[in-house]
Amino acid sequence: MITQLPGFANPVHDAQRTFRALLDALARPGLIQTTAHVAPPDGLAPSCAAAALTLLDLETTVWLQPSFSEDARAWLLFHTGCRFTIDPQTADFALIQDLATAPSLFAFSHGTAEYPEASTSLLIQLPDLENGEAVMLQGPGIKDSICITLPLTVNYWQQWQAMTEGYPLGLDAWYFAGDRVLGLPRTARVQGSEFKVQSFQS
Amino acid sequence: MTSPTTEPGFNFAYLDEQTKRSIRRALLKAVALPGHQIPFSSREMPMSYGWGTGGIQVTASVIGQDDTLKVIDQGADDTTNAVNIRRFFKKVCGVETTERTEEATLIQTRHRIPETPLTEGQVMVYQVPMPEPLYFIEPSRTKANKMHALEEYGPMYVRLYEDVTRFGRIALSYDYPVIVGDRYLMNPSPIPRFDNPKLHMNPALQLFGAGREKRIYAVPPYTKVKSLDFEDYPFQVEHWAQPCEFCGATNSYLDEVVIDDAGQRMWICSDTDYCNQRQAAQPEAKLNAWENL
Repeated sequence: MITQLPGFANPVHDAQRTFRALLDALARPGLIQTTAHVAPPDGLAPSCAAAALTLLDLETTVWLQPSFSEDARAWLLFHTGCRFTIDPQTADFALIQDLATAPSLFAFSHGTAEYPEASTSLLIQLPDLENGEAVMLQGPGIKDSICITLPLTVNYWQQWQAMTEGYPLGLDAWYFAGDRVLGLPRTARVQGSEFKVQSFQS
Repeated sequence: MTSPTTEPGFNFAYLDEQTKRSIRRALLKAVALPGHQIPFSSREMPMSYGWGTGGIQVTASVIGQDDTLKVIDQGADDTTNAVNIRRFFKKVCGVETTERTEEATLIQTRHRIPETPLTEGQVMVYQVPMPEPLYFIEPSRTKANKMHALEEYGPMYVRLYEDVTRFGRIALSYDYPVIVGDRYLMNPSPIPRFDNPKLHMNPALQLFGAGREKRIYAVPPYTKVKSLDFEDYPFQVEHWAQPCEFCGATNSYLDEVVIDDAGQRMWICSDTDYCNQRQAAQPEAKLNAWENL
């Protein structure tokens, strides 16, 4: 099946604008950025689709959550030429539509001690980037601390906290809703004792 | 804002989109791992290694139509390297350029951090000749990688200690090693030791590109950057006995310039933009110092 939907209206400048949004999102964790516009297929958020067009190409391996539509897969394949995998450990990028049914953070590759950059980057779609439980973050890119209200569960934040303790190994994530994006690098540590847990299994 | 006269036959910002994507992916990982070097597939650029090919590739991958670019070489906006790189990006991007630090959104630099404090939203791009701080201790990349993985930075302290025993002080004047985010040992490109404190908790995003060595690394805004030292030999920056002879600044990095064949010399700010702005603000200062020579 071949997609009928176009990619960026202006591939060069839209990709640049989206890259800067993704870069700023990661360099200033917790601050919401806006991506370039793209009309995505069903199931892909516009900002997530823009990020996919900006980051993916034939050199990247992508784990696509199985719940994504065939339309979305065909659109990604046509516009980026990326390779798909069913093994989250081998993915450079993971596209997640529904966190509740996604594998735990420990199912993805956290890189190796010498090459911590060989980890999976998560592209996570959420219904909204605000109006969830408030969580306090600290780390590089954050002046003192920042309070964010992503609609995520305590269980997720516990996993995130456990993951950041493995630094420099770990995962970097972008959260998408509408045309907006918020980034959390592996250096963004959650503050608060309720997120401390013993250990996690994949 | 963009000039309509970008060079025909070239992609915006010279590099092809595939190359930009691979560099962008490396930059994103670099930001997530402050101070850690990420390998990237450095391309041949229309200039030789050593002229800033790493910095140019990073700038080309980051720059957009709305950016205002400043390029400095040892603090100066008007030296060959700075002028050529600025002209190159004007040609292939049609972007606005400036010499004023506060107007720039993107600053490519060879070996200085501007004296004017950087602000949130600005991006610094450093041209790096040798990204590996352990190279002169451990020439093997494989072994150096392992040392970074194990956070085995003792030999670097030994190297500094040898300076103390031989010279009575740590004698490194540039490329003074730092620890970024309490984890990675990093070469801050050959900026003078004087600029090291500016790396620490800087509001701007700092990106480093080494073209020949094919490495990219980064220091995100508001990140801890600590210059290595000892309790009894704390890190110190350079000081000068005299102020800048153009603008009278006592807090800037000074260059020594030989001004005649009788060996006379003068000391002036290395940051030309900073010096010019200070001179403009005080008309009674030696505004036309060059003409008085």
